This record gives sequence, C-alpha cells and structure tokens, in this order.
Amino acid sequence: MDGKPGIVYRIFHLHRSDDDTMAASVAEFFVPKFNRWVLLRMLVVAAGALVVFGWLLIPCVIDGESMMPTFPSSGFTFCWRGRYWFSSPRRGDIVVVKYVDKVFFLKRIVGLPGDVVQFRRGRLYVNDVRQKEPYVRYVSDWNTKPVIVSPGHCFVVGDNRSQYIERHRFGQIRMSRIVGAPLF
Amino acid sequence: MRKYIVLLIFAAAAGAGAFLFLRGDSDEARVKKVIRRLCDMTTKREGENPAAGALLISRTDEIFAPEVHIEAARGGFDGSYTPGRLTSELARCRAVFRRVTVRAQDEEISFPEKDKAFAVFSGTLSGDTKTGTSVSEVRDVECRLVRLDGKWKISGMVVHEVLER
Repeated sequence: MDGKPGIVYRIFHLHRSDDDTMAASVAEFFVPKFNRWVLLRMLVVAAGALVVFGWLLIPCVIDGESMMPTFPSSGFTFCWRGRYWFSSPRRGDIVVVKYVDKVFFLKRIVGLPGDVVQFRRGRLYVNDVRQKEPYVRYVSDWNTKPVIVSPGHCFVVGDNRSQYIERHRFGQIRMSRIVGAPLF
Repeated sequence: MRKYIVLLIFAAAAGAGAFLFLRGDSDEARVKKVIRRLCDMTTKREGENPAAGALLISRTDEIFAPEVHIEAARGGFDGSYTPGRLTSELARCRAVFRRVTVRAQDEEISFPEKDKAFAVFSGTLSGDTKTGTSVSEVRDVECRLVRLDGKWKISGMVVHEVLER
C-alpha cells in the first residue's frame, strides 16, 4: 500500500481518519464529512437495501389470528423469497401467499395437486387419512365437503381452527401466488 | 478510455431498445395488450363523459371472439355471450359505479396450441358505487384466447375466488 486507501475502503470509510485515533474514525463513520465517497457509500447502501428488502427479504407486519399459536396475532417477520427457488412447496410448509399488492396471507400447506382435502368435525383428512397436526392447539368443529386440489394449486389453511369457519380464509390457491416463506 | 465507456453506453442503449422493440411485437405482448384493453374498458373514471364511456365499450368486438364462454365463481354471469351482449353487460355493470378501477397483475401467458393462448392473472377491482358503498375485490382470472384474422381475441373466461373452498 502506498498510504492511499482503496475504493472499497473509501466508500465504506474503513480507513483510519487523519489523526489516526479509533474514536475519531468511529465518529467520522457515523457523522462523516460530506464528500463524493460518502455520497457513493449512501448510494451503495440504498441500492443494497432496495434489493434485499424490496425483493429478497420482504418485511411483513403480521396482523391476524389465523396462524395462532404458531405466529402471534400481531408481530413482524420477513418473507424469504428464495425458499422455493430450488425446491417445491410440501405439505406442512408455512408459506406467504400474495393476495393483492401489499397484502399477503400467512398459511400452512395441507394439500397438494390431486389430494382430496376435507374437514370432518374439525379433523383434517387428506386422501381420507386423518392428519396429525401437532401445531393445531385450538380445535374446531369444522365440516367441509371434500375438495380435489386442482393441478397447479395447493390447499392452504391457518393453524387457528377455533375461528368461525366463515371468518377463516382457507382453500386452494394458485401455486404462483406463493411468494416465499416466513424467515422466522 | 472515455471513448470506450461512451461506446459501451451506446451499445447497451441500442441493445435495450432492440429488446424492447422485439418484445413489444411478440405474441405474449399482444395478449397482454388485449388483457390491458379489457381492464381499460371496465375502468370508469369519476365524472366520465357518458358518450366517451359508451364509445369505449362499443369496441368489444376488437378484444372478444364472436362467442365468449364465461364462468364466474359468483355474480350469475355464467353463459355464452356475443360481443354485443357483452357491451350491454359492461354498460350495466359500469352504471352501478361512480368510479371503478380494474387492474390485471402477475399475468402468466402460455401458448398450448398454434393460434391459441391461455392467460392467468390476478384481477383487482376497486371502486365506489353510486349508493356510496366501497368495493374492493380480488379474483384469479383464466382467459382463453384465439387468434382470428391475425388478432388475439378472448374466447373464454373463468373467474375463481383467490382462496377457493
């Protein structure tokens, strides 16, 4: 090194300040003197945030009781878009489903294409086999007609079955509406 | 060095222009245009001139085939329609609203056979009725299209609930 910091060091301000003290360097990092490197740093950070939080990890506010107790009625998570880049959705997966522009549903997949899904006295049956659902704590008395899941669709339902059946949004959705899975 | 950068920018701009020009002429782009026109015909702006609205929906034969089969999850629209009958149905629906916006999003277009296309999209309708009720609905729409005289036209539509029980 000839004493001049490189471009990455300049953008992210990793070099020591002129007076070479750590405190001065930290202060300069958080409250920098405005110059073209600071402007470039702001642009790089903004572009990175736009890609990460606008496309890869979408911030989501949870507002609803349909996935209780797996998810609280209010909270925060990120939708990880890469969840199904190299695999297909499976039964039991919790997915983020796009409803409209900025409204998403958090649901669990219980049926895949060709499956026959039915609720009998609150118990879930897939292909006439009663399913073990350890994540369901609040039981229900739901009864539904058997539904054959169409090709390119999957059947989703929330974990909170104590809601009135009319109030709980569940059913089959287009697979392409699945945008990812909650990060945590 | 500066000369090469300028050349590179020009080459990138020319490439992007050529891509957009060729893409705009593809069958997929033409099908999307038909879907956009369908949305435009249904959309009604506040204070719309009735004559302009009537003129807009009188051109249904430009986007619909001579016979269109419609299946809807709700609304009692099931049946076969001619473009003329669709014009009167559209006029009846638009008359209910003071303003209404219809949009198509997330279009997936495939071409299963020659001169046939299949489009699936998320259709959103939002507006206010003349009685003051706000309406906001989302549906999955499947459209079958056929190419007639070189133009893509809708020959069938199926409207599903997003979460269908």
